[in-house]
Amino acid sequence: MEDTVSYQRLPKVRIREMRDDFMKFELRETDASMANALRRVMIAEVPTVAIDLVEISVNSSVLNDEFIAHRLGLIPLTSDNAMEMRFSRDCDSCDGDGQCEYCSVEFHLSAKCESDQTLDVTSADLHSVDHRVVPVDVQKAFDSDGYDPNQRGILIVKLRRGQELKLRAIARKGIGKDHAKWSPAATVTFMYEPQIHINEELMETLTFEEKESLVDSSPTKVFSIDPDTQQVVVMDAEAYTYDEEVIKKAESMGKPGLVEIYAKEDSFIFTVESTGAIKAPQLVINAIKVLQQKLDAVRLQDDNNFNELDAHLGGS
Amino acid sequence: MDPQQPEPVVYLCGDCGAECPLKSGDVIQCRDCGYRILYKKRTRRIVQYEAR
Repeated sequence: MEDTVSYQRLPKVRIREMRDDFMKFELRETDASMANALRRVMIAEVPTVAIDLVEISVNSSVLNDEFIAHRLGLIPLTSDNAMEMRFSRDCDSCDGDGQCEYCSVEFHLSAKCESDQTLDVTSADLHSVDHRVVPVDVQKAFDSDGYDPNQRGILIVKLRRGQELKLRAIARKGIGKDHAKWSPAATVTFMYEPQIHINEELMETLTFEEKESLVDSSPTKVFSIDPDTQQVVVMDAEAYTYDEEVIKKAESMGKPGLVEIYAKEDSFIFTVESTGAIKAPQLVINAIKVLQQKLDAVRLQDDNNFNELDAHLGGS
Repeated sequence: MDPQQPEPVVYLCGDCGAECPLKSGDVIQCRDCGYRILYKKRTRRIVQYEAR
């Protein structure tokens, strides 16, 4: 066993941009399987909290009960403590009932329109029993410490005079794999880092007009012409979308090999957009934790399972 | 509930909006205006839904 080859690698991360709802970073010295696992975990397996059960006592609005329950489920809630919360299905203190403080958060909503003006019922009308779990936009308004007339919360339903809505909602921990309402990610993408080689020798044989049309052939602004030396230079390699338009252009000009573009197969550029349930940097960290837990589960599994697999594969 | 004494169910008239309690076997007709389309009221009970 001593002389087995180790495939262990130590990936490196370099953060380029970090905001509450957006993050851009480089992941290097690993392969596509790692990058894709990370992306998929961020979308579907990082837990958040979302409304899962709605008990409606009065609803005389124009929307039916199911419609309102569904809309409530889709409201993003601040889920910073979701990693520490329990899933209601394996919560000991309430036998999976999903009604205790370890696995659920209760919300109350009570609204009635008494005036001639239409009443907008929004996420700001949802009252949480736990101040850590509130609708994302409500938290945002609280943080910015000012009332913004354009920021009135997420609209749930509109009521006219005499209509009323009264309900109790239970929010639970869950993952995006079960229902997209639990996904903390708006979008997560990664791309291979492009490596662009310009054949300078061949480039010299081009006229200025030809260089210009080559630069313009790329649908995104990847190349430009240096105003001093009149040479074609790479302006923004990452703007390249692997459309191969410049390569086709070079071929049509009778100069194959003028530009060569390869994807670096061990370098990835990630962009992460968060719904606000979890801050984007925390989302990445939580995803790595979830991935680690999954690997631990494999490692701690009975070795007999692998022996069985060996027998199948080796046929000994 | 006692099956011997069925509680009358209150309906709403589709025309005049008056309340109209009906028992089993009654003619489906509004007592005030004679309109024959009646609407059932929403339950007074709390109803539970999964937000999915």
